[in-house]
This record gives sequence, C-alpha cells and structure tokens, in this order.
Amino acid sequence: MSRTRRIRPGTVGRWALLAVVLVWVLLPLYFLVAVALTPGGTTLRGLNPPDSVTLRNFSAVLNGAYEIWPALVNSVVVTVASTVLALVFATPAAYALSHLRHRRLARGLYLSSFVLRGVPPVALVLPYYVIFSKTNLLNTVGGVIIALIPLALPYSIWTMRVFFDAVPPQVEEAAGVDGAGTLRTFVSVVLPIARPGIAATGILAALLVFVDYIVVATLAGPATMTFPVYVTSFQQDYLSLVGPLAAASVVGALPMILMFGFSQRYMLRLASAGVH
Amino acid sequence: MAGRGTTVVQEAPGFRASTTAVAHGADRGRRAAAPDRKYYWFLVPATVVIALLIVVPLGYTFYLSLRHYDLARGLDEYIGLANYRKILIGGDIEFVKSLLRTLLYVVVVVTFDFILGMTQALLLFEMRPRVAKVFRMIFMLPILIIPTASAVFWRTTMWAPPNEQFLRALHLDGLIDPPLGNPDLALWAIIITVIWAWSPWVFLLLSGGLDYLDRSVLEASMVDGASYFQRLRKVILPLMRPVIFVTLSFKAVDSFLSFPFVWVMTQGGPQGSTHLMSTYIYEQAFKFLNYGFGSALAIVMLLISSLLSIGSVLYWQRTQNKGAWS
Repeated sequence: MSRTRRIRPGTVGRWALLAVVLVWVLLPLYFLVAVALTPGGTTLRGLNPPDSVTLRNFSAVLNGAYEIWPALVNSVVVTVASTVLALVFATPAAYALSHLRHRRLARGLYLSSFVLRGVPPVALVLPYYVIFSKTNLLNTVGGVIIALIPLALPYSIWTMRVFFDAVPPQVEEAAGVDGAGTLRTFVSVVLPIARPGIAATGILAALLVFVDYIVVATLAGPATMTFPVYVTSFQQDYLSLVGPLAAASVVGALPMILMFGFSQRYMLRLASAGVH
Repeated sequence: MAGRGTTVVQEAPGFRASTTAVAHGADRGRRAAAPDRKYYWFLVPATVVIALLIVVPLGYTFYLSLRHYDLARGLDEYIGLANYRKILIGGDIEFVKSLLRTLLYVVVVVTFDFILGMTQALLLFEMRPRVAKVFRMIFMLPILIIPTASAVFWRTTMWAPPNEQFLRALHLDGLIDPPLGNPDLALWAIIITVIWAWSPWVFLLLSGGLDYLDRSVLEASMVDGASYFQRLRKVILPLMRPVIFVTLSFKAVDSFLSFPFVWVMTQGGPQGSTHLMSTYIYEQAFKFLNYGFGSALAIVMLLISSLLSIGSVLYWQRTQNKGAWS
C-alpha cells in the first residue's frame, strides 16, 4: 500500500446511491432498446443480450408500414397551433397581471389560473364530445386544436407572469416618455425583452399539449389522432407488435428531445416560475 | 405605470436577485396613484377564451349532470339532482373507492417522485458542471418516451408474460402472478411505471431550483463544518422550499387528474381495482354511456380538485404573509 486515502463514508454512500438511481433509470430503457432491436415475436432472456440484432423494426416504422407519419404530422400541427393560440391570449394577460399584481382583483385572477389548471380534463371532454358531435367538429383537426387550448392557457398565464415581473420598469417608463402608448410599449419594448421567458413557457406548454391522451383519444378519429393515441394502437396484438412499438416509441422521443433541448436553458428560470 | 419592484420583497433569500433587484419600493406610493386600470383591457382576450373554452363547457357538464342522459337507451330527460343524490346518498361505493385510491396514488407518486428527484438533483449538485450535464441528460431520458408509449411498453414488456422483464430482473417471475392481472398488485405496478416514466419532470425542476441557489451561502455553511445532512436540513431544504412547494403542488394536481397510464395499462381493471377518478368517470360516460351520471361525477371531481387547488394557494399565501419565505 503506497498511500492510504481515506474514503469517507459519505462518498461511498453517494456512489452507491448513484448506482441505484442509474439502474432504476437505465434498466427499463435497456429493455426498450433491446426489444426495438430484436425481430418481432421473440422474447428477451433477462439481461442476456438478444441473440440477433436487427434494424427491421425501425425501417418498417420509418417506411410507414405502421402509419406513423400521419400521426406525427397531426401531433406537430395540433401542438403548434394550440400552443401558439394559447400564447397569443396568455401573453397580454400575464403582462396585465404583472402590472396589476398588487391589486386584489388581479391577484385573485392570477391565483385562479392555478385553479383553472386543476380543472379535470375529463370534465371538459364530456361536454366537448356532445358539443362537437352537434357541430360536426368531431374527428377534425380544428376541433382537436380548440379542445387542447384549455390545457395550455391557464398554465401559460401562471408561468409567464414572472417573466414580465422581471422586466425593468425604467424601460417602460422610457418608452412612455418617448411617446409610446401602452399597447405600443407592450408590443415593441416589453415583448422583445420577455421573449426568452415566453419561449420557455411556450415550449413547456407545447409539451403538455403534445403528450395529451384523453382529449385527442376522445375527440379525434383514426385520421386525426396524434402520436400518443397512435402508440396505444400497438396494444392489440402485442406479441408481434412489441418490436415496432418500441421502435416507434424511440422515434416519438425525437420531438420530445427537440422540445427539452430548447427548454434546457430556461429550466433554471422555469423552476423559479410561480415563486413569488 | 403600475408600481413595480415588489418582486424583491417576495423573493426568497438565497435566490439570485432578478433584474428588478434594486428596490423600487420607495416610489411605489407615487405610482400607485397612476391609472393602471388600462391594463385590465389586456385581460379581455384571455378571459373571453377561458369563458368560451372552459367555463361554458363546464356549465354544460353541469347541465348534463341534471339529466338522465343515457346514450345507450336513448334517454334524455331532466331529473334534477337525482344523479348527485345517487353519488352522495345512494352511495356509489366504486366512486368513493376511486376517490380514496386517487388520493393514495397522489400521495405515493408525489412522495416517491420527490425522494427520487431530490436525490438525483442533490447528486448532480455535487458534481463538476461537465459531469453534471451528462448525468442530467441520463436522468431525464425516461421522460422523452411519450407517457402512453411508456405505458404500453411497461404493460407489454415489463409486466406481462412472456417478457415480464421487470419481474425477471427482480427474480420474481413465476413467483407472483402477472401484476396487472392481480387486483392487489395492479395499482402498484402502475405506480412504479408512472414514477419511472414521469419523475424526471420533478427532478428537472428541483435541479433547476438547486442551481438557482446562491452557492456562496452554501459554501459559508461548509466553512462552519456542518455535516452534509445538517447542511441539507438547515440550509439547502429551507432555501429550496418555494421551488419544492411549487413543483410538488403542480405534480400533485397532475397526479390527481391522472388518466393515461391507468387507461392504457388496465382500463381500471382487474375488477375495478385500479380505477382513479378520471378513469372511473370516463368509463361511466364513454363505455357505459351513462352520460348524465358521468357528468355529475365529473362535477364532483371538479369541486374536489378546485378545493385542493384553492387550499394549496391559500396555504401558500399564508406562509408568505407570515414572512416564512420573504
């Protein structure tokens, strides 16, 4: 023994903890990837690597053998449209609530956006189904877009106010001195400053919309369903479809990676959003 | 302009001061006199949309809940509060069970998400930034799989034969029944799936909040020679309180409304043992076509959910006014 380096118990504990957490996170992912890489119908044998590895599941999914593309396109269209619409309404509201934040009424309204976020989607889907069937909006992209706005709007108002709180008041005062009206100050002075916060909020709102299942499963049809509903169609004959399902899950992770990639920079701020 | 600058007062100590950091409180009085009412106009579009897309539909749910609206039998008649009487007095025991089950689900999921997410965040916090970046990516991987995809994958590959990988990894295969078919185990199998799939969300927010802490405060406590757990208890957790509270209350609301995992993995079965409130209501309305009764259940759920949200908001304000966070 050349040098005895004392290993503190804390360090050992930390490594052990890290190992446990890593196994918990990665083991199921290993199975997911293993299933995606083995031919359909074969079963894995525990942790043993699969006998033969193939990209057939991926090529079949990407070639459209399982109709993945329409679902992904629907997802993108619906997510972008609902989120943008929600932001258009949420942004001025959050700005106003920031200005009015020590007024009792406005403060109540702000807190109610948290309560509105807690409205059960199932309580909304019920009337939407009846209303949409009477107005021929069932199974339409437009209907789905409308029905998804309530998921994103209260959340966006709630989160975005903080970013407007952080805009220095001097900036707005200066704009006022220069003769800009309230609306003009908001559009050309405040919005550019608050843009990163709006973008961050938008991405997380998009995420909420993108992963929705209950609204789309109820109101969309086979031609208008989004990716989260689409993957559940692999359930029926799962022995032969488990490979393609796993491959499709991996493909579906790509939009999520994009969204999280963008939001990563803002995670700090989002974590503090709502803290005030 | 409306008085700005109150943020500072309300921001927790130890948090990096935001751009408004310089106290503008001094000229608040002058500005309060200024007409800030014009900003109410900015609230109009959102209010109209919320009224049209949330309040009116909920009103329609209430309207439906007063009717015997049974699509299977083609019935549609006004019956007053009979549906509510059936829930409250007639005792829909399955609904009460689903309510209690939902509360259990919320407590278990939030607790374990917090323990796991906080552990991951604290592990990351001690690492060098470059290493931390890699581990942050690894820890968030499960969230990249869409929830319903995770649900189908766990159902088909992890829990059910012939694959049942999760049971094999624990050497439980053959010893216990496939858990999703067992009324005693199914809910727990779903909970494990949910924690795996969606806890990274809690981790990301907690980790973000931890990075937001002022490291110099922590370093000062290290100089004092405090042990790790002392520091955790006396310094880190108190400073993290606002972030923890916000993250967990959002998580609790989401869990309370949870639908996709149960619906995709078991549809509430076996023998109704995994029904959460959302799935129970959904089944009543869309599977049994008891639309009126389902609507009444949905209204009850809405009331409970609103009470919980309002409760947490009030609690939040009270701790704030007590000065615990400011």
